[in-house]
Amino acid sequence: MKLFQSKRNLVKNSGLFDAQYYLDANPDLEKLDIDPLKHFLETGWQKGYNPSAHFDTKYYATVNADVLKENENPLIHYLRKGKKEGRKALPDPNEMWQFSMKATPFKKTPLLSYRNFQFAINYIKAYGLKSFFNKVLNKIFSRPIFLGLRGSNPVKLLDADKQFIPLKPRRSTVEPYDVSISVIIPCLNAGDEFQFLLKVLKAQKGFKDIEIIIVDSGSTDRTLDFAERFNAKVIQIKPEEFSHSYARNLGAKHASGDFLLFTVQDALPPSDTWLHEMFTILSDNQVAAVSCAETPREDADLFYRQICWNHYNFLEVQNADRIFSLPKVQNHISLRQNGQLSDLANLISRELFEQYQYRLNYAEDIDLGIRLIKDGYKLAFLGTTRIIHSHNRPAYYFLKRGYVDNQFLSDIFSDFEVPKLHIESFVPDIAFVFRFLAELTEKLATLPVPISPDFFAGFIENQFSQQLSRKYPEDLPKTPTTHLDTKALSFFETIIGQHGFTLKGKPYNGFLLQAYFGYVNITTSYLKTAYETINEQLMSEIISCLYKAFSIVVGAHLAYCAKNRTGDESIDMDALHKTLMAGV
Amino acid sequence: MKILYALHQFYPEYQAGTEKFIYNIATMAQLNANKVKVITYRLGEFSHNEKKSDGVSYEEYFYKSLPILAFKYNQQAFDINFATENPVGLSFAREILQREKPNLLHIGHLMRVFPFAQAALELEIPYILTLTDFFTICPLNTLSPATGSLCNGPNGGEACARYCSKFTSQFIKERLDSTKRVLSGAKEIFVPSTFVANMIESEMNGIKVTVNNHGIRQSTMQPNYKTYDDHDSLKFASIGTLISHKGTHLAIQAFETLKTEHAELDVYGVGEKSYTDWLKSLARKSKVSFKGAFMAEDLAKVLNDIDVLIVPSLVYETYSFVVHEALSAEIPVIVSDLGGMTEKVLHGENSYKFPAGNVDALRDIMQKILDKPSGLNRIKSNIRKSTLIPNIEQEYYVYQKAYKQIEKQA
Repeated sequence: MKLFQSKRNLVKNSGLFDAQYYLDANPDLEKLDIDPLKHFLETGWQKGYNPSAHFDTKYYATVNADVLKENENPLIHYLRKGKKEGRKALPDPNEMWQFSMKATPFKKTPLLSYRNFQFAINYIKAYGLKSFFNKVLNKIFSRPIFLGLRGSNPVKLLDADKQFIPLKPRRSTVEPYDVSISVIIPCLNAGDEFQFLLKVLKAQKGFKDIEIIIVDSGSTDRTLDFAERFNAKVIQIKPEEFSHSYARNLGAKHASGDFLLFTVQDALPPSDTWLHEMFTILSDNQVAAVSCAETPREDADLFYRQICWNHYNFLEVQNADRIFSLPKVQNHISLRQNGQLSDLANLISRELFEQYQYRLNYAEDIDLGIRLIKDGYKLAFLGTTRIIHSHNRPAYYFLKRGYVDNQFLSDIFSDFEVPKLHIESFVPDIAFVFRFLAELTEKLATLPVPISPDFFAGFIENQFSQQLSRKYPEDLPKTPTTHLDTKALSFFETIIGQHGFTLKGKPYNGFLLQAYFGYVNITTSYLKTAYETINEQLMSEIISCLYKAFSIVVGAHLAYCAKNRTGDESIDMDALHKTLMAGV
Repeated sequence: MKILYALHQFYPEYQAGTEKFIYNIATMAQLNANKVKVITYRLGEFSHNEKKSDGVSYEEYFYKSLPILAFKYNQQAFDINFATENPVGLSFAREILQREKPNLLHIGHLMRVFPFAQAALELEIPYILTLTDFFTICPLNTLSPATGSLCNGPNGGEACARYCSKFTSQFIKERLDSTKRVLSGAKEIFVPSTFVANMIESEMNGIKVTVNNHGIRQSTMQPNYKTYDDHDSLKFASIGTLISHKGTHLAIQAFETLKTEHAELDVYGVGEKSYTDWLKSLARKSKVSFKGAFMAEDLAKVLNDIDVLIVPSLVYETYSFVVHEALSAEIPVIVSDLGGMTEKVLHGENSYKFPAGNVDALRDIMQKILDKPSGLNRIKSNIRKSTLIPNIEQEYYVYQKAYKQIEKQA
């Protein structure tokens, strides 16, 4: 009893036990009405449960053979000896990519098999020994493989005091603020609905004045007429002058409001009190800037919805409002998880913005957020207040998006590890998965529906597992898919046709299948969350979604290939880069 | 979150305003990662897949992306359209709610599905109501005891005794008590217009409702950018079910007496044969065209082909989708000054209204417009600048906030 109390005090005083974290990570415990610390000390550590985001029980036990051998609670060992000896409490976050989904691993293959041996060799070649080691740990402890994308449970913050804003009852009255707002919108052919947006912006309640500033880069539709009708200030720039940062900074220069709201031409406030809600958060919580999540339009496709859902799980704002500040451990994941601002809606004081401004031509909003938290400011990101926005974009866009995103990540974050992929071996990998996808979607199209999302997930997993014993293809699928847009189809057919069959007939040893499986797990997790039954209409959406997921994963891996280029490639990497960077 | 939606009838069997509203909201909830199912009553026959429960048959199917459960009583009572409580229905509702285990029930109309609200109350499943008409205070739904007459509410049953003698005072009292219990148990009550809010709140002491206008499916709308000069011909139109209380005859009668050759009237819709025949007999001018029904996806095309919409209802419209769809497409409307459809209309500023049933007043407005078609430019400009009609995303957003709040409380 005394020994237990001593361990309890040791852990309690260490700051390495977070009861809320422990309960969040193990929701079944809440039902037991048990003291989380007692549970951890008695049984939790043996099950490999982590006491907080700052200590990885399984990792510590595995890398320290003495701990494993003595069957000692790893955290107690760390606190008594390991810390002084400089042992690490957490693995390097080099496997934690950019997404928040837990992928389920292929279950069918025995761990010690020839197939896994081949896979291991290739994995080490691409991702390095350290990544492989972490991967093996995950496999041994039956944890999800964090290769690429993750499941429905959000990744825990690596090191940050999570701060949530309490949900307040809706207010029936709008108390006016004695401030003016300048709304800055970069525009190019904003379409007929732009007029509705201007009307809704002008109708926002609770401010002294709302000024609208349009930075137009060459609209030829009614955009400028609409702007004139609503007395917006119009700044015209040449199309070639446009960059995301330049246009917004220019708009801010012409603003006279006390606060600036950066938004986009196709986002729509959901009510006439939306801006007031945003401002109230800004004013009540002493944050430097406030952004909010998006809620989809009525025509949003499945892929876009699952991306947003996944992203807000990652940010932990699915049903909550958060205040971000600089995390103690800083890497590309924790910074993005705690420094997020969004150009869909970014409310900030003009004075502060003038000091910082936007920079970069891509992800300028995240860049601004990270610079602000690094300088000690707090930001708010709202999940309970949202702005209406979504797109129905073709697979080709997502191919490019995957490419550009990963170019950006490796450029902006020094800790972002680029896998050692090479284009020569990767294009046959594309061919392999492309063939599989064509076959898979053909099967899905004829699968008798309705089926449950669980059945669907099992079916998908089984289909993926079967691929591991196959060989690289010799030619393109016989029937071209109708689920890819013509540009994406042409891209894949061209690159595969020219360079995709160099490994034909050899056993598959690529990475794309596994990475793609990780992404497809987002789809299956989303389907389990949002649907009880998959019918014919949904199945058709799923098939399109699978092609878009394939495209974004290929785009991401092409970015790694571009980063690893040597100049000896048989593919014109400059042309490829130019093609994939254009227009995103 | 799992949300069940319940209403008296649904697609594809019926396609009126409440069905459109529930379809829009349930679809939006699904797009926002909620599991949804629509529970409805089937007046017609089932296909061959029905299942049996105690005294009830039901069928499950999909309407587009929405899972539907439609039920009907094996012995359908004569009072199915105005009764509230039903023991067989209550038992079935309990069974379904216990099977489906929703986090929330959202009822779009209590007719025929009233027992689901009672069962939810009993099983402590939170529910919210959207009152799209006057079912909770009037067994006729319409507050119109007879053609051409309107009532200001039951006033505790006194008005019903006076104007609707087919219902006994006892029945009305018990019915009002029953609906009030269900209203009181709701986590939140929404109505589509201030008019309905006032009617409900004045009758049901202590009940508070929130106005949430129905939204328009913007993706199917196309603003009508037409501008006019004084020599232009104009096309008026009437859109809706051809049934006497919708007042289409007033539009035709007014049109017939106009002093101009530069006008047309298109009558869209189908309905009662005798009324339709009468309407056709009223239309002596060749410029009155009966266009029949059109598909929902053709609405934008129809609205782009007309210049002014006339909605001459003789009963309270609780909202009127078509009026708001027209305004959303920048089409001026002429509406009778009844109910919720006038709330966005500023007479002479962004549209027109006339005393319900007054054909001369309607004709005068039409004539005035025809005498100076360029006047429509100012009206349309005002619609464009200041008439705000929410879209379905905005309508859903209000519900989403309520859903989340209820989920949090649970």
